Amino acid sequence: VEREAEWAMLMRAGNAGDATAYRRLLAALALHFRALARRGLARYGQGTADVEDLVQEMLLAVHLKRATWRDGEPLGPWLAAIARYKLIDHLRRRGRRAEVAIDPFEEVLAAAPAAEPGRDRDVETALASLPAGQQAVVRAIGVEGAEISETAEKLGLSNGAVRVAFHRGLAALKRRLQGSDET
Amino acid sequence: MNTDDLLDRLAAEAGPAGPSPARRAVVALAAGLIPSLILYLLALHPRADLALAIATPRVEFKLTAALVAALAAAALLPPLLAPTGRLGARRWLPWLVGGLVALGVVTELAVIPASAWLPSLVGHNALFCLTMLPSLALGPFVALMLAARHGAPMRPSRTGAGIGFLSASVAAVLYATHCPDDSPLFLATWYGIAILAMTGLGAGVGRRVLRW
Repeated sequence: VEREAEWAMLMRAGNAGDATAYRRLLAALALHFRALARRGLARYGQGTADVEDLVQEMLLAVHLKRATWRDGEPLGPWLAAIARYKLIDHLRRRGRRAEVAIDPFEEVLAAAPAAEPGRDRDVETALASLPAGQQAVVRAIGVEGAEISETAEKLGLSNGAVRVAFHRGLAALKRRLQGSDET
Repeated sequence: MNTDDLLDRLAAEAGPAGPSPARRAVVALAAGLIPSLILYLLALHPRADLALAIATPRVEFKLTAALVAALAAAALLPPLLAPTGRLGARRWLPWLVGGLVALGVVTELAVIPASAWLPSLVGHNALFCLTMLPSLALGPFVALMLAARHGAPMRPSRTGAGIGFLSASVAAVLYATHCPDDSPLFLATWYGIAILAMTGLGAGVGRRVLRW
């Protein structure tokens, strides 16, 4: 309370334009706020990394909002209210940043299983609708990853015929998939 | 930035704190009413029979209720602007306004026949009331929001709601001198909707613009 009265005096002097008194007040408040910030952040399971940021936010708020302190009103509760608001504000913004960091990842997690089965099924349907020769070639090369020569041997075709069938099959597949996307 | 550097920088800005937010709000309310008064003079006007009508109980009640709402809102605002502001007993003021209106509604229901209830409620110009009242409130609303940005509200949405309530109540006083519908049923319904809507808008806007 004694300290509070001294701070109130310094505040009054500062508002009257005394920069030295005002600096003394702010330096004392920095110590006070540092203790508050450390305790406040610890209570909410936050590390001490942000303590100095929070202290500066509190000091800046005292400076910017000093018109909301009525001379004659006790300074302690006013300072406590400013500090509490800034602590909560800080925690809230921390919380939002954490959410932002998780969000894109969540989207991927949610989107991947939903899209793929549908896509696979579309491809399978389109593939099944190709002519038998093209279908066999595209399956062997595109799906199973076989070489052109080995496919040619297996199907009893020339390398050139396999190549042509593969490209025609892929082109037909693409048309069908785009067609099904549009509908 | 190093905290010591911040201290130096802030110390260099030592000087007058400026007017209290409550005082700023008074100035803002006065300034914000200028567009409202212009709108009132251009688009509205006191009803022709105001001098006579003012002596009738319904008009007296209507104006009293609007004035009580405006005064209650004005009393609520200063504590909503300061971080240490405590509403205390003032927190009951909105209920007082609500109780007053409810009393008027009950009395009206008792004195007019049931067949007149609906026409009294619907009135002549409900839609006009719903658009005019918020329009009249807009000037004070914006000016008070700007003034309140100098304050340090602990709960910005509540302070915003108070601003919406105050600007709408002041608008209601103005509008009541024009509106030909005097039944408390009309007042409770349409004025009520308009004032609550502005209060809600204030809460939403306050949440965004009154953070500090």
